[in-house]
Order: sequence, then structure tokens, then C-alpha cells
Amino acid sequence: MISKIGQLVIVLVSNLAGLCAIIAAAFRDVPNPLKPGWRPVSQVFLKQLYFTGYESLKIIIIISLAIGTVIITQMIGLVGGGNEPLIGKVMVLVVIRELGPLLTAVIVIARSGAAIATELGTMKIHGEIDSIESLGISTGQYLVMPRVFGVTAAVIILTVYFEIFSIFGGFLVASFGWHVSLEKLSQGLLVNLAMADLSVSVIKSLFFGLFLSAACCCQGLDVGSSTTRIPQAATKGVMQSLFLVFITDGVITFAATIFRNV
Amino acid sequence: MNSEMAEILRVEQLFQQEIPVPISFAVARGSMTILVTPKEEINWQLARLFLCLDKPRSGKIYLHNSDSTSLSDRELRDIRSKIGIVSPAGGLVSNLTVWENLTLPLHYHQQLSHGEIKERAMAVLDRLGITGKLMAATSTLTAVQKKMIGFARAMITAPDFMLYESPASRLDQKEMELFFSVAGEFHHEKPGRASLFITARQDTARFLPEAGLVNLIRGQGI
Repeated sequence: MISKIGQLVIVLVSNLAGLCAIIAAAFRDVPNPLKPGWRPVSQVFLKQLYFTGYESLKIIIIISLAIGTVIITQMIGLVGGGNEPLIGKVMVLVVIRELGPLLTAVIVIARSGAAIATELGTMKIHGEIDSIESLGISTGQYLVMPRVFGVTAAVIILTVYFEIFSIFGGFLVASFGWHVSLEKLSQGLLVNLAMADLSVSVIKSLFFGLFLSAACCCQGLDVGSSTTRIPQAATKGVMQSLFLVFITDGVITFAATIFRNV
Repeated sequence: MNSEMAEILRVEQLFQQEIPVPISFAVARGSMTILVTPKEEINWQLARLFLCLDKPRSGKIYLHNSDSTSLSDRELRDIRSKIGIVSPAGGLVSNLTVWENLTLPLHYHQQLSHGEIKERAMAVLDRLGITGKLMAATSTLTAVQKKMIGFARAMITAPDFMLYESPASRLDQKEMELFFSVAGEFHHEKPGRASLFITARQDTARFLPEAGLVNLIRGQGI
């Protein structure tokens, strides 16, 4: 039993080290904007940003409005309509510090993570990765780096949208449904909102984006020669990303709480 | 310049499955060589070895007089950027358009304006008689069109070394004549440019009478 746990820990640590190496390589592979190579790489980055960021926006807005509505409905059901400071505090804690980055990352994993693993897996099996390498183009720089940064930038931007629309949706429902003053709700939110909350949200989105994109790229490039491995790579990429996102969330929340109490 | 300095590729004692004897030959600057293999299937394996995408299990491969196993990834990429590879299926990237595929190496390796890139690309396309469908996805192309776009992409960077893998594959007689005539003309356009044709078709020499022959079936050049 102990040896099995030990083996599992070794596998997890080696996987994590591999992903950290991919992320470090992505930072190292950023091309010089004054040299050739910048143009095609930035095109891949912008395409990824468009696919993950812009095309996911609609679903992010709908889900965030629904989540905001649910949270505010439950809060008013619990504490009543006249406790705006508490409602504001809960919105900051739940939406900005936790659900915003977490749910955005989960949506991006489901939508773009699986797509990245499938796309890279298909390219690998059809020999396109070799073809790119045979042109003297680094696949790390041309395929992985722009995807990692494109997805990460998209996760950070989408998280901001998620939080704004979630709070906006919740306030709208509270205002129309329970006639709670929007002004009081806003005050309750702003009194409880600190720079530390926003920083935690951005830090979480940053790490979620880096880890989920690196995991999906890694799984996509890791397929063998059989097409049956492509769906497996997508599933593995999604599961590994989810696992990492939840673990990272726990670690950052814990670290932020300790840091705040020091 | 001594003979070693003039070599672009040197292969020594390379063992390969289905070829009973070790392969040894050299491709000198300015030379045109046809490497005749027993089967089409092993052509890509050999091309991968010559491009250093795979490491040889035995023997040595020298690119520009450097042992391929001693070169770093960056050095290998620099060398590959000066090689034009023509593969039977074109080796195109499926998530790029035809035009993006064609101009990818120019955008990546050379600091040229959009106008210069367009001019060079159109000149190569004209030469190969390729028209239309430039903004289309590669999936809309036929196998021959893909191969010809791959050929155009290899030519566009004006490389020092052209590597043709199974050049006659997927082409009919008329297309083969056009292909080899352009390949022959292109070979002479840059002083010192070397061309290596890896093929299983022994009649390839008919299209390239000036080319030297390394026959892996008969053991010549070994």
C-alpha cells in the first residue's frame, strides 16, 4: 500500500516536473519581435486567443450570469435582503477569489483543452510535426509556446469577464426580484473588495492557464502512431488539467490565507 | 576548397532494415544524386535520418562536415532551414491555408516584407503552373496539388540542398516530366546547390541524365 502511494507520488511529481519544463521552455522560446519568426508565431498566438478567448465569451457570459443569480438568490434566502455588506463579502469571497478563476478554467479545459490535445495529436499522427521540424522550425516555439500563452491570456481575460457578469447578474436579480438597492449592494461589494482579492484571482488564472495549456499540449504531442490514441490524449489532457487546476486552486488559496494572516 | 569541405551530406556505414549492406555515400556541393532504394516505404526513414529527425542506430551521418549526433537542436534547425524537403504528400500543415503553408518558411526564417514574400511566392507558383485555391484549406487540394505546393514551399527559400523523397510518387507521366524538368532547372540556378532524390523507381535516372546514381539494391556506391 505504502509503495503504491509512493509510486503514485513519484508519477505525479515527474508529470508536474515535465509540465513545469514545458512552461519554462515556453518562456524561453518567446521570439525576438525584431527577428524573423515573430510573425508566424504571433499569428498562432492570436488565433489561439481568438479561439479560446473570443469564441468562449458567449458561454462564459451565460454561465456567469446564471452563477451570479444562483449565489445571490441563495444568499438572500439565507440572510434576507437587508444585509448588503455580508452579500458583498460573500460575492468577493465566492465569485472573485474562488468561482471566477476556477469555473473559467473548467470551461476553457472543456472547450479548448480537449481541442488543443486533439489538434496536436492529429498533427503528430499525420506527420505534420515532423514536417514542421524538417523546415527548421522549432515545434516548441511555433506550436507550444503560442498556445500556452494564448490560452493563459484568454483564461485571465475570461476570468475578469466572468466575475463582472456574475456580480452584475446577481445584482440585477437582487434588484428586480427582491428590490434590494443596487447602490447598497455595490457599496457592500466595494467595501469588502481589496487588491489582495483581485491579485489572488489573477494569480490563480495565470497558473490555471499555464498548467492546463501545458498539460493539453503535452498529451497531444505524446500520442504514438495510432489514431485511437487521439481521443485518449484528449481525455488525458482534460483529466490532467482538471486535476492540476483543483490542486493549484487549493495551494494558492491556502498560501494566500497564510500570507494574509502573517 | 578540398573535397571534404565541398560535401553537404556524408553517410558512413549506415545500417537500415531491408538493405542488406551498410550504406555509405556522399553528396557534394553542386552535385545531383539519385539514391535508389528497394522500397518506397524506407524512403521517409532515410530522409528522416538525413534530416537528423532520427538518430542512426549505427554508422555516421555528417551534415556540412559536422557529425549529426554532435549538433545541438538549434544547430540542426539552422541546417534544416537551408534544406528544401519535398515529400510525396507535400508535408503541409493542415490548420494553415495553402498560402500560409507556402510562405511559412519565408516568414519564419527570413526578414522579408509582405510584398517581397508575395513576389517570391507568386514566381514559384507560376513556374509550377499552380493557380487558384491559395486561400483554401489544404484539405481541399488533391494529392498531386499538395505535393506541388510542398515542392513550391521547398523552392521558395532558395536552399543550398534539395532533398526529394519519393519524387515520382503520385505523379502521372506528364506531371513527372514537369516535376523533374523544374527540379533539374532549379538545381542549376544557385551555384553549389546539391540535390538528392531518394526513390524506389529505377527509371528516375531517365529524367535526370546528369545525376549520379547510388543504387542500394545493387550495392553501388556502398
